[in-house]
Amino acid sequence: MELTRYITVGQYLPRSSPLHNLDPRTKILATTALMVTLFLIPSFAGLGLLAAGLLALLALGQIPLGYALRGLRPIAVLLLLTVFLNTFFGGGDAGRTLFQAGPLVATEEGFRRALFVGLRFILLVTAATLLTFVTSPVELTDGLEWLLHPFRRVGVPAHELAMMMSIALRFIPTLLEETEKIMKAQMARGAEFGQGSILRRARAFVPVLVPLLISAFRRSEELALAMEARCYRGGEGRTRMKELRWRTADLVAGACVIAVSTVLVRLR
Amino acid sequence: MSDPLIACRGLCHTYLRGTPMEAMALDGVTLEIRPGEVVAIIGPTGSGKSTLIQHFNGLLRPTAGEVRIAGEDLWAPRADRRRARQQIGLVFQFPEYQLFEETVRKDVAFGPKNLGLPAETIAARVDEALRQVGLDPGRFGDRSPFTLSGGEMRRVALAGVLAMRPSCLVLDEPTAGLDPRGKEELLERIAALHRKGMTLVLVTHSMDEAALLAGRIVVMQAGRVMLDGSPHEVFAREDDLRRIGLALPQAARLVRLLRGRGMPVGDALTIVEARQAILAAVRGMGRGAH
Amino acid sequence: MSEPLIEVTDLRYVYHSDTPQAVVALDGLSFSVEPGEYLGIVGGNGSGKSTLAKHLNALLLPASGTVRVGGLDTRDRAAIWEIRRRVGMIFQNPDNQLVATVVEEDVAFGPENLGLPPAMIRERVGEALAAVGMTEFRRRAPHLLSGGQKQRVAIAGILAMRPACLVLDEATTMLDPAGRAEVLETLAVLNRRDGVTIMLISHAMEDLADAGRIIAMDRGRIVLDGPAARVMARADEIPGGRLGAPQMAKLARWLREDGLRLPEGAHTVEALADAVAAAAGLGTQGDV
Repeated sequence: MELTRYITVGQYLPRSSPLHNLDPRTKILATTALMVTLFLIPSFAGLGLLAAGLLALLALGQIPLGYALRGLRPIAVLLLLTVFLNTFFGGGDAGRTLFQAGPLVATEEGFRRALFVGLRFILLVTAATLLTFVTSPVELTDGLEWLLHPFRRVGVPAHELAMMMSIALRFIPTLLEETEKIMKAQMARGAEFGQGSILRRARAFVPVLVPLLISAFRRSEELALAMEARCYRGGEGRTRMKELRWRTADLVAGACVIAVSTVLVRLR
Repeated sequence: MSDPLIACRGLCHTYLRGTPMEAMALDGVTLEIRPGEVVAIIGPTGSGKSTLIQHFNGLLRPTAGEVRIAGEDLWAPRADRRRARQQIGLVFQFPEYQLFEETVRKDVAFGPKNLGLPAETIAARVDEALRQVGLDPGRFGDRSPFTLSGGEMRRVALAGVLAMRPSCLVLDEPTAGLDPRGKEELLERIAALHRKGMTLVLVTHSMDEAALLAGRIVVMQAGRVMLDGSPHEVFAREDDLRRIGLALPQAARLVRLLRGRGMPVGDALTIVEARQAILAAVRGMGRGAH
Repeated sequence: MSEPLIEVTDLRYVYHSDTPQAVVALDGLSFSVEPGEYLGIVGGNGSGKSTLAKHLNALLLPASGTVRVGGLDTRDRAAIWEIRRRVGMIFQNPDNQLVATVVEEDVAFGPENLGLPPAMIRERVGEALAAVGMTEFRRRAPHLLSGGQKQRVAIAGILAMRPACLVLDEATTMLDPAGRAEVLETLAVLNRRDGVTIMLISHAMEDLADAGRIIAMDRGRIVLDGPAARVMARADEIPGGRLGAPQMAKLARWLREDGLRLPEGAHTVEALADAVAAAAGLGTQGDV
């Protein structure tokens, strides 16, 4: 019941590490490159090396391993489901049969595939959370806005999108805390969560969702007012305290990512 | 002497045990609350007050130690924690933010419904609870709670807990954010509940409120009970309180200052007491002078 | 002779106007604020004090009457950003006014909106955080700070825009006593040391101990406007009765009724102790 303490996705950890000091654009591009690479890597050896690389990056970014792993918790169900489906349905008919449960047949090939997909999934999430651990939402916003800027001509509202994302990240901990408070308050009035059929469970969340939504609306109204009072009027004419600037470190980091990706994609 | 309603023994609570973020919120709290008492729990922010009261109805499970409600161990294998939640009514800070139903009546009925009571009983309890908080069921019952004023919404939330017919009400900062009149009204309602036999536990930052209402004050500091006694006993320990950032009630500070200036004023914790003490002292001094 | 910083003339505002639910929130207010003042505005729920606050930097515009900030009319669209820069606003819930996930980035938000060059923003952020004593927290995440610290960050975010006046709309209401003391101390220092004009809006008279002047509001009107001591002493007479006098003011009034000769204005514990000791013929501390 301590949601805020267990959910770490999207949470920035302020440190002054080499990773924190990179330009956000470098980090966004590098993470995107690594994610694409993940889908192109053909072998376990490649995934293993990438995992080792991510561990090294976590250390470089001064992120405690336990904290990073905690981020995987909310996706555990999804992960298990992926592994399950792949074990039974992913291998086709090929390969030696491992075991059989009714109509479900688990083949060796299917199991290998399941492990592969599962590992890829974990690495994907870890890479994404690593980005948010070492890049403050404001930097992330600035980086994204810059990267999206060329697409403004085709109608992509770059600044607005970036600002919305940044605010969403800012309010994740606040809303989680609030959810927890409301759940506890309703439990004190005899509500039970996580009991009975799925329908019953879903219905039990109505007394949580309604106040949560009302509060989210109230918060967004107040925030909009506070932003307006602080002279916010959209992206036009805004400057930044932290200017985006490519440095040598960014060049080096970019080169490293390209080199590593090239090698991993070819590794059999 | 009656059995304690709530009894905590050696209560410890550690958040996130076994992780780098481990934090000890309660560190061996032993405390009893008897039927009919009004106990104020005070202490600086982060001293463990909120964690403590969430153990009173089993919302949090102690990492060590035990909690007994009316003699029953809350975490024994077959303990009935739902019953504890009915008996110990917990009202959180800013409880108006938990309202969710279309009408005041439906919202107040949420608790009794969860108890599985028959419809007529629920209706009767809802009306009774609304009256207890000073809201006329006929006038307010069918309105949406979201059209009410902040103070009225808070009273609806309080009614939602009262409708479970608890024998003890635990209130976390019940008057936070209300204007002086709203505060006065709510405190008067709470005092009236006590006169009808309700046991009260009040978590508060206001020493003046604690002095006004409580028969006993528990001071928390760093997850432990630092002081536990009558208001006069607790507020006599000014230096200990100041060390942890707590002040005396204003009236008590006033009589201390006056004594420092040579005026023989008796003890006072509220302004009513201070008025009498000062008048008595002035009259006494007048006699001495003539 | 200095020009008033804020000049409100015959201000009226109606919510849901032209509907059956129309509510008159402000009903003909007039007052002015001089540079460097520490003004308290007190009123119960529904007195219109928050509606008034929102008029001071053009978040709301008058239905009739005028609001002028340094001579600029809030209805002048061209002046709106200069008005908002000059009159900074801090709201009740600290969580709902912090935009960024790092303290210094939040403080930079205002200056960034003003389009200042990065070096200047950096300088102002540093100064603003120092002014509220939050320099050591500049790299922290705001949601992990205490309520009082969050409000100080919010104040720094306004100070970084170099305003002439801070308007605090119930900004102490949600804080614990330590947080409240922290914020009030910060405001007193800003007013005394840096000459920042302060308008502190609250329903608790106790919060207004540092104010030199207090305006009391009820149902959209000004019912009292004068030196703080006088308004506090009369708080109980305010119609509507949603405002209790501070405890010490109440006690002082009782003792006066009991025949003690106490001067008006003894509304803090220390001041009342002095007054009672004097009335009892003991003199102030040090004479004894």
